[in-house]
Amino acid sequence: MTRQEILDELKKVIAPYTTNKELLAGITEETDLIKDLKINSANLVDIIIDAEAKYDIEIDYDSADKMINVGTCLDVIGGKINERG
Amino acid sequence: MISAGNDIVSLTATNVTRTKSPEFYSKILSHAEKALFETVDKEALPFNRFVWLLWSVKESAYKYLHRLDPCIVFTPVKFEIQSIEIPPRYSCSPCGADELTGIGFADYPVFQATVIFAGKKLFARVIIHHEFVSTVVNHNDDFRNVYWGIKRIEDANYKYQSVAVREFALGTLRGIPGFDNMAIGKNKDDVPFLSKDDRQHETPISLSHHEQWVAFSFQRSG
Repeated sequence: MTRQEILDELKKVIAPYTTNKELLAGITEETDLIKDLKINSANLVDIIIDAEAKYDIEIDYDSADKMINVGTCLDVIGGKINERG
Repeated sequence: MISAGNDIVSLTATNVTRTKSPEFYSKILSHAEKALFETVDKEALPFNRFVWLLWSVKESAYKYLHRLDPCIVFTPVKFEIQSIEIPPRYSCSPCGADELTGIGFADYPVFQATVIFAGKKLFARVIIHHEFVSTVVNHNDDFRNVYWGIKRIEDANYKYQSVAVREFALGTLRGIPGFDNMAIGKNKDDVPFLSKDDRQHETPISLSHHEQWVAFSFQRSG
């Protein structure tokens, strides 16, 4: 998957957990999940689990720690997809 | 140095089926905490509420410590709950009020818990009703100087939540001599602080909101 394809799918994963749909449509790699998209921290676990199912990957604790903004989410997911082969 | 850390989870906004799935709770609970569940009274604290109690204590502890060390990252499994004490004759009930406030917890049936992160031990008080789990943590087991509040709001929109929790906390502060005309800001690390006449106040404050519930805690020194 290209980075853009991962991003397109990631938007669908995030959508149920943010009320800021306008910002979601225009997210950039710098968009912060909590500060910008106003996602409740309790829903970050939901996003990680949904991402695992969507991309057929497993995201360990240390990798999950890095998923703070859209860019780092793409880094982690892209890395896990490559590991999976 | 004292800090402040609180959290509220709206139980009606959580997915019970998902909470009970190993994929979900394994991201939150350590192996020791899964074993801890086997020791609690499951009628008083069923698994769904156990998971959110632990989440709430961990999040509160993270907020308390993050204020002191902004480099700390919130990894739920690394904040480990060591003990949980259920209040005597506890039975979960509807909240029955739209607003609860207090100084300390001597007048309220609370769960008591301890949590450890990187060798630092914090103490927690947790109120659980059908609608929410709300936690306040402290560096010691003395909560007599800890002010707290929980309030139901009508509009769960983020902007309204943010305004409502500030108004709620400032309203409580106005009732304390010397704490009038306070304002609440956030620093570059997203940590809330009190200020008066544009000068940061030493009293640490913590704010939380989830869906239709907002909560705050702050601690006066001395």
